Amino acid sequence: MGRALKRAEEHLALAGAGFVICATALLPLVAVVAGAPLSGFAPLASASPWLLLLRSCALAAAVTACALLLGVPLGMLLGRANIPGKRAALLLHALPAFLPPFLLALGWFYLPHPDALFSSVGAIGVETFAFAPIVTALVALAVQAIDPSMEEAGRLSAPPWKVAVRIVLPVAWPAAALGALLVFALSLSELGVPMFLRIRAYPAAVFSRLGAIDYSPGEAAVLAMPLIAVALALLAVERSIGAGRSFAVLGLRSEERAALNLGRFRWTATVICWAAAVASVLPIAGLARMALRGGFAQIGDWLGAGIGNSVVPAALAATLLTAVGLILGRSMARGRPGSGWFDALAVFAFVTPAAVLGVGIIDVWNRPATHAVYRTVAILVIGFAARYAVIPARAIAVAIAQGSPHLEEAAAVQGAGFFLRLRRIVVPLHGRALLGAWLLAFVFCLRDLETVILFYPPGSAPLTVRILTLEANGAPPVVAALSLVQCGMVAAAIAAGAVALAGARR
Amino acid sequence: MIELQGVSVSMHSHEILHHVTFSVGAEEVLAIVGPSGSGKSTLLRVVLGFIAPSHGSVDIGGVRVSNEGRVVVHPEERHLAMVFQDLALWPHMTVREHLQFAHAAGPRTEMLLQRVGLAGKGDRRPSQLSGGERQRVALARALAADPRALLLDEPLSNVDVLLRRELIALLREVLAERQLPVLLVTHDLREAGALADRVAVMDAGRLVQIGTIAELQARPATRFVEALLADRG
Repeated sequence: MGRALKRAEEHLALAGAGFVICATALLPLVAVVAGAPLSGFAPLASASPWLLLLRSCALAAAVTACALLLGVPLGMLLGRANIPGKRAALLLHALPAFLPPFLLALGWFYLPHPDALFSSVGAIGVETFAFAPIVTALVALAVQAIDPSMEEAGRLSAPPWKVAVRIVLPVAWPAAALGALLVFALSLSELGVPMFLRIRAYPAAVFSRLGAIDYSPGEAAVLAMPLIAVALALLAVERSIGAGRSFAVLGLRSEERAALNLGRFRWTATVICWAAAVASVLPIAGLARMALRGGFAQIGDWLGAGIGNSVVPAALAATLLTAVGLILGRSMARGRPGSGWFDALAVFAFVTPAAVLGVGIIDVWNRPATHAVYRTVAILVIGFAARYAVIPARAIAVAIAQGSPHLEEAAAVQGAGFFLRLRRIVVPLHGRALLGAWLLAFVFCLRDLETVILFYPPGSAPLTVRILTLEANGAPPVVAALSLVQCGMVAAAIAAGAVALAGARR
Repeated sequence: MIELQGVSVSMHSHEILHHVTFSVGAEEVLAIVGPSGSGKSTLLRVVLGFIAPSHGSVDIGGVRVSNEGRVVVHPEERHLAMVFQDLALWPHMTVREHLQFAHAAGPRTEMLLQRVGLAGKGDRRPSQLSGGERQRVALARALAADPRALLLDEPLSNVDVLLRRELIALLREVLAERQLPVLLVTHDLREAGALADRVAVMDAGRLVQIGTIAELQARPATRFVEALLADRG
C-alpha cells in the first residue's frame, strides 16, 4: 500500500494542481456556457452587440499591431545591440506592463494632451505603451537565447543588419507571435481604459449588466458567449505557435556574448530606445504632477485598507499559484501526460476576457452555501488563481526544462519518492525561478482590476478598484496620489524581488 | 595564407591565448590539437574576426585583418567559411536557402548539393534531415561562399564511427579539390592525422609545438605532447 502510494505521488500531485485549475477556472467557464441558454439568446439577437464586439476586436488588433511595431525592434535592440544603458532602458520601458493600464490613461490625462486622448486613437496609444513591453521582453529574451554560432555562421557572409533580419528575427518570431497573442487578449479584456476614455467596449457592456441600473446576470452570461468563442480561437493560435516546441528552447540561457555592433547607427538606435523608455514612464510623471497639488495631504482619508486589500489576496494567490505552478510546470517540462491539458486550460482562462471569468465566478460562488467564500477575501484569491495560473506555471516550466532530468533521476534510483525529490532536488535547484514566478504572479494580481471589479467583497476593494471608482467623483490630486501609491507598491515589490533574487544567486 | 603573429587574447583579466604565432600555407591543412579549454576555439574566433586579439596581428592573404586590439576587416569581408561544432544550421531555412544565404545561386547550388550527397534534399529543413545529412549541409554552406580559407571546429565530434569514416573521406576529397588553406580544430590526434599536413599542439592557451606527426613523434617538445601521442596509440 505504502509503495503503491509512493509510486502514485507524482500523479496525485498533478491531479491536485489540475483540481485547483479546474475548480477556479473551468468551473466558472462551464457555468457561463451552461447558464447562457437558460436566459435565452435575445441579447445577441440584434446587430449592436456584434458590432460592438467587432469594434473591440478591431481596437485590440490595432493595439497588437502597434505593440509589435514598437516591441519587436525594441526587443531586438535592447536584447542584443550595443545600446548604452540598455538594461535601465528596458526596465523603464517595462514598468507600465506591471501597472493597471487605466493609471497610464490617467497619467496622460494629467499631462498636456490632445483631445484625441478621449477617442479610439487615444485608447490605442495608451494601451500600446501599456502592453508593448510584453512583446519587447519576450523578443529580447528570445534573441538572447539564440545559439551564438547561428549568428556567427551568418556573419561570415552577411553584414549585421542582414543577419538580424534573415536569421535572428525569424528564429525569434514565435516569441513575437506569443507576445502579440497576449497583447490582443489583454487589450480585448481591458475595462479601465475604455471606461475612463469613454470608449464603448464589449467587456464594459458585460460589466454594465452586473452594475446597478442594468443589473441582469443572465444577460451578462449570454453576452459573454461570443467572448468565449474569441478566447477559443486565441487558444488555438497559441497551441499552433507552441506546437512541438520544447520549453527549453524558449530559453533563459544567458551565455555571455558580444553585443551586436550597430556601427554608425548606434547613436540613432540609442536615441530611439531611450525615447521609447522615457515615453513609457511619462504618465507616471503626469500622476506625480497632479498628486503634488495637495493630493498626498489628503491621502490618509481615502486610502483606507486599500493597500492591505491589494497585498494580502495578491500574496495568498501568488503563493497558491507558485505551488500549483511548481507541480504543473515540472510536469510540462518533463512532458508528463495530462500536463498539456491543464496548461491549455490555464492559457484559456488567461486569454478569456476577465469579464467572462467574473460572470462565471459570480454564478458559481454567489450562493448561500458558499457565502463564507464569496463574502471574504477568498473570492479574490479564487479570481486571481483562475486568471493567472498560467504565468508561474510557464515560468517554472521554462526554468526546469533548462536543467537535466538526470539530476532528479539520480535521486529516484536512490529510492527517493516524488515529494522528496521535489523538496530536496527540484526546489533547491530552482529556488530563484520559484521566487521569480511568485513575484510575477504577485505583481499581476496586484495590478488586476478587470477580474476583481466584478465581485470584490464589500470593504475589501483592492486599491485598483478604489482608484477607478474614486476617479469619477474624487479630487484629481487624491486620485493621482492613490495611483502613485499603486505604482510604489509595484515598484517596491519588483525591487524587493530583485534584491531577493540577487541574494539567491549568491 | 593565414598568418598569426604574437596573438594574445585576455578576457576578464584572464589570458586565454598567449603569444601564438604560426602560419597556414596556401594549400595546407593545419590541425590545432589540444584538450578542452586550451584556447583552440578562441583561436578560430580570432581568425574569423569575432574576437579582436589583445596583442598581435592576423593576416589573411597578405592583408592585415586584425591588429593590436582591433578588428580591421569585419567577419563578412574576410571571405572565410567555417563548419561549426554544433553545425549552427538555421532551423527556419531549407538546405537550398542555407546555400543561397552564403551567396551560392542557381546551378551552383544544385552542383554543391550533388557534391556533398544531398541532391534532391534542397527543400528540406534541418529538422527533416539525419545527423550525417546535417553535417553535409554545414560543409556545403561553408563551401558555397567560395571562401579564401576554410575553418573546421571539431567537425566530427558528434558522429558515430561509420559516419566519421564517411565524412573523413568526403572532407579529404573536397579539400583536395578546393586546395584551400584549412584550419582544423580537434581534440583527436587520429582525426588530425587523417586530414592534416601539420599539427599544432596547444595547451593552456600556448602553442606548445608545431610540425608533422612524424616530427612530433620524433622530437616531442614537452611531456604533454608525449602523452598526447601516446594516447593516439
